Amino acid sequence: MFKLTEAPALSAGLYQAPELNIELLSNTPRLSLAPLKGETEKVKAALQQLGITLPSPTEAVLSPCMVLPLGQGQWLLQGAVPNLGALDGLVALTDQSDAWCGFVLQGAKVPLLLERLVANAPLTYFHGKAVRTQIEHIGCWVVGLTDNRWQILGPRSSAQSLFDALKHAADAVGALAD
Amino acid sequence: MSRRISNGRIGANTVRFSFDGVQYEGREGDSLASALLANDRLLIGRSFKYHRPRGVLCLGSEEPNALVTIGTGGSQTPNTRATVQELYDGLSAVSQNRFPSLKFDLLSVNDRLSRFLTAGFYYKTFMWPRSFWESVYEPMIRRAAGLGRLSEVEDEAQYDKGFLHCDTLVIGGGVAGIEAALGAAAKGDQVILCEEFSRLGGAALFESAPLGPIDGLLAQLAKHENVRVMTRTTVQGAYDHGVYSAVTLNTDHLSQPSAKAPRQTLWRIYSNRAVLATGAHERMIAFDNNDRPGVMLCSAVRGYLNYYGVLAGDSCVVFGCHDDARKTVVDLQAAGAKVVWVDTRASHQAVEGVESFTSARVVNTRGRHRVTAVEIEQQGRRFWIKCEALAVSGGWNPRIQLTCHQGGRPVWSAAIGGFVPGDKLPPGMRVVGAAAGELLEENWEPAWDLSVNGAAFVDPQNDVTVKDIKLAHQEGYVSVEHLKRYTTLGMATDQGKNANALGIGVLSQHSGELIEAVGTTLFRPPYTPVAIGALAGRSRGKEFKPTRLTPSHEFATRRGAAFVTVGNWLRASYFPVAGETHWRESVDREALAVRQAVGVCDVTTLGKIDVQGRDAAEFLNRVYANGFLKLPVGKTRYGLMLREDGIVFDDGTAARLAENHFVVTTTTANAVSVYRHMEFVHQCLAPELDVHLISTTEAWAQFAVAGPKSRELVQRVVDMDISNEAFGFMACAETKLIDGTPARLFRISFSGELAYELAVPTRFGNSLMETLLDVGADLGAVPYGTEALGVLRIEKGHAAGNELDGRTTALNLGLGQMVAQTKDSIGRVLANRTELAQSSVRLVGFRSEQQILTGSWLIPIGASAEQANTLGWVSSACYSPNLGCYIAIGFIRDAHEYMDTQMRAVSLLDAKDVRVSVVSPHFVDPEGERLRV
Repeated sequence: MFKLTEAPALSAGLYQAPELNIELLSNTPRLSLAPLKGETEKVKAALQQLGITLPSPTEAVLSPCMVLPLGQGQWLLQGAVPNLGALDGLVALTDQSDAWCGFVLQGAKVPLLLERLVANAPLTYFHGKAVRTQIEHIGCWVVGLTDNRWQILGPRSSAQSLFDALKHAADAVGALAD
Repeated sequence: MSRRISNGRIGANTVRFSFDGVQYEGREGDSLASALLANDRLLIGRSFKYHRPRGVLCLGSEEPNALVTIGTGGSQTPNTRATVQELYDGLSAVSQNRFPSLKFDLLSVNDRLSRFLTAGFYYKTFMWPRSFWESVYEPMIRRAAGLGRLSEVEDEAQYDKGFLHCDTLVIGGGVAGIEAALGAAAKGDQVILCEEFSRLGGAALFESAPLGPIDGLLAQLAKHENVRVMTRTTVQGAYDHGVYSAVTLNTDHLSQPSAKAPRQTLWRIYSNRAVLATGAHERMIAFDNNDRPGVMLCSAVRGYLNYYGVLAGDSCVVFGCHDDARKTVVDLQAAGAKVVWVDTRASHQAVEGVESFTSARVVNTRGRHRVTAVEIEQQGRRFWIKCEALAVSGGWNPRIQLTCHQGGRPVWSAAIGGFVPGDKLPPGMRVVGAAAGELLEENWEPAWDLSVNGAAFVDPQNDVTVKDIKLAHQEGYVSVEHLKRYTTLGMATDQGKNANALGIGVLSQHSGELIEAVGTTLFRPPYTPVAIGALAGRSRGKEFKPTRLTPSHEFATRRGAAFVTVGNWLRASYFPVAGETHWRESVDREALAVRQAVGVCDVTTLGKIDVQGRDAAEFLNRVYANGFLKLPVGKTRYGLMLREDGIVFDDGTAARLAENHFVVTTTTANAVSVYRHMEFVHQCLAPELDVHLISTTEAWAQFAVAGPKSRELVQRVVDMDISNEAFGFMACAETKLIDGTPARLFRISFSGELAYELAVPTRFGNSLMETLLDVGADLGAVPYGTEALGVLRIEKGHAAGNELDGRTTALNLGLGQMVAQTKDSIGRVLANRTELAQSSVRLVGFRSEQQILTGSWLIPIGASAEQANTLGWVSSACYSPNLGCYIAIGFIRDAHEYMDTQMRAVSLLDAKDVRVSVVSPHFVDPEGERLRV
């Protein structure tokens, strides 16, 4: 009898430097949620009961789980997603746990790294904001978590390329600061 | 001999460097130019065409002459301006454009042949004999042309890119720029202040006046946290929407930079407003032999003196036509030099103790590798004066280049004798200070062409003289745009910073037209030369473009697969085993294994789109040409997607997992465009439908398990009955593997064999690939790659990207019946237009004992291989290990007439002409029996 094993998006996804850490998120549940036509208000009300707000474009909700606007009428929930049984028949729910890879960036020098990779203005990915953009031609989300803490979400298949881009920019930041 | 008379405003620490192999010492803070001048090294290069000795002319990046090569190997950088290269310990520079040495250059004979090498001479020569052009003239010209040489060794330095946003971008860190930055900062703007030099201060740094006021401004600036100062940063271009490019030189001034530090950073700066405060520089006057080493601009002479502590010569002649020259006279006298002042104007404010000549002009210079004397003409009288340096000023050129980058043309200001910005500026830009012509009214009087009969240089970098301009005008190139291109005036790496205004003045003088009427050419980005490496940034080598790895990539790598890039994906092409030395061996084996046993192929890259909602079926009915409303739950259907114009866009499958839940597949190449198309249809054409489209390409790892033993293999891993009765052809289901892993199973086939596609969440993909081959070892299970995948589908006659090439219709593909006429769908109407509906072109197959090449044209036997005789083309071809011959599929017109006949497949590019038999495109199992077993 076989038992399939899980492989992470990256075998090694950690970068540590003074005031600049990059770490791969692993085993992170993700779900896309799309209210069926005409059910958006009911869905929002049901989610409010669970303490979840659906953010408008450019915003991010950070607790109890992270919620990002994925597209028109679609949201991505990540993390400790509560039981959504109450939404049966009202939404299209699709597991997206394996569709993305996420990196947490932490440290005072992270803004210097992000300005090398993200064309959008820093205000668009400040605390509580999220921006859909490209990092080295990879479609990504940049989410402002707290002061000095950001999350980047990218397609899982490009995890290595995305990490390489982050590392390369981090090396430059560190080298120029020295 | 040392010309250093003080530390100026730089450090006192000694720095060692070499130039043309000779060791010198300079000071920390020197430029290469100032250090060479301090060592009395005037001869720095040879000019482009005539190989005349040249030295430093200017102080900054407008320098046309002192171009050197810094470094060797991968870091070799030609055409570096010695005036901007900061000195560092161990710097090694060499001169350019000379052989065998700078002092003795064989090609200086060109100078003696100058009368034959005037502007545009190459349009009138090198014509005969015709055969010499490629074999003699072109190689000779290529060897002689160009300035500087590349090492052709890869530059391994890191380069970087970045994006900055601000409310106000201030370009230029002189007094005007600093004041503009302070003003914007005080209003609360986020300000970026870019300065080309290594420190702020601008022209004031190079004057004799104390720096106290500058220091005060800098102290105020430092208090503003909302000001980001970027020195060693040149703003290179002004683009649309307030976007500017800038390059920061991070390590070019360091002797041992960190290996990880990017050498340069290219910035894209988004600004709401911009202030151009770039100042102004002087220009030359055209007189005979005005290009000798030791001839410099007035502001350069006093700049080297005041900032770098370098005295140009113990005896100096200052020649000008406006008041600025006086400042140079005063500073040189204060430094102890013997000064003679020559002024074209009738009067000026004299300097006590300085001999001066008014209503006079310099008409010639003497000296080979350095100026030794100048000839002065005053009221008809000519005489020579010995000197070690000549400082010249013909007027001011405000640095207005960025104002032209969006098509604005500068306008002439007679008050300052220079060009100032016109009315059309890049949106959001204003110009201040000397760049706007402010504070430059210095009683200027015109002094353009003072030549007699010698070489009077207008553009020293391209060796354009007054005679060239006169000749161009004489030959009818009267427009300033034609003048530029015929003479190459302003077309060198300095983009005519010094030369353009002088050239226009010379043209005006000789044509009799006012300067305003002559007009100007435009400056274009970049402001100064930019390294290609900076433009590439991090996008090189492995990081040139992102790579998408399939879930089974680790398995494929361990198995020694050969890989192929498919867009950004890296896919296993084939899996060679021990003993196989040629790719055909591997591919033939894999294809045969699928036909005879079972093979496993990672097909994750195909697009997967979840279509969910109460109107999901109706939506698919609209985007696909064939019908989906009645597709039962648990069934899959092949789908044909048309463009609005009736041409086939993509094909794939749609599997109905639940009443309101489909999974659509697309080709790998069209995954994004189909998704985009479907979103467009949903949002713009059918917003009333209750449907959501969710991309799940990344979320599921999917594997094709194909071959007569595929059922046996799949049954060993899935936790459901997949007998033919329970799970017939085109069935689909959400299910689990035996170990509980969630899965999706589809009974679909691309190969024409009994086949399934099994999907699991991506994190289990690699493990599933290994498991399938492990549990299927006794069945002869093999991995197969994209090559065998291609052979199998050609054998079956399945259309793929080669056939869906943007020109073919459903009818051409033999799928005309699939376009349902009883419902509306994208492309149905225009697919029925006459030209398409009556086309006789059909997809057919070809067989041959000889290799058939994809792209070959099909020509009747006996006809000449011309377009008029073509019957069609070959779209896909391969060797078929199953049939033991070469096969292909393609399109021919009037296909029914040519079935079972022979024709030729001709490739003129490859000189191949192969006889082929025209057959059905379905080489294997045309009745589809194997699929349904």
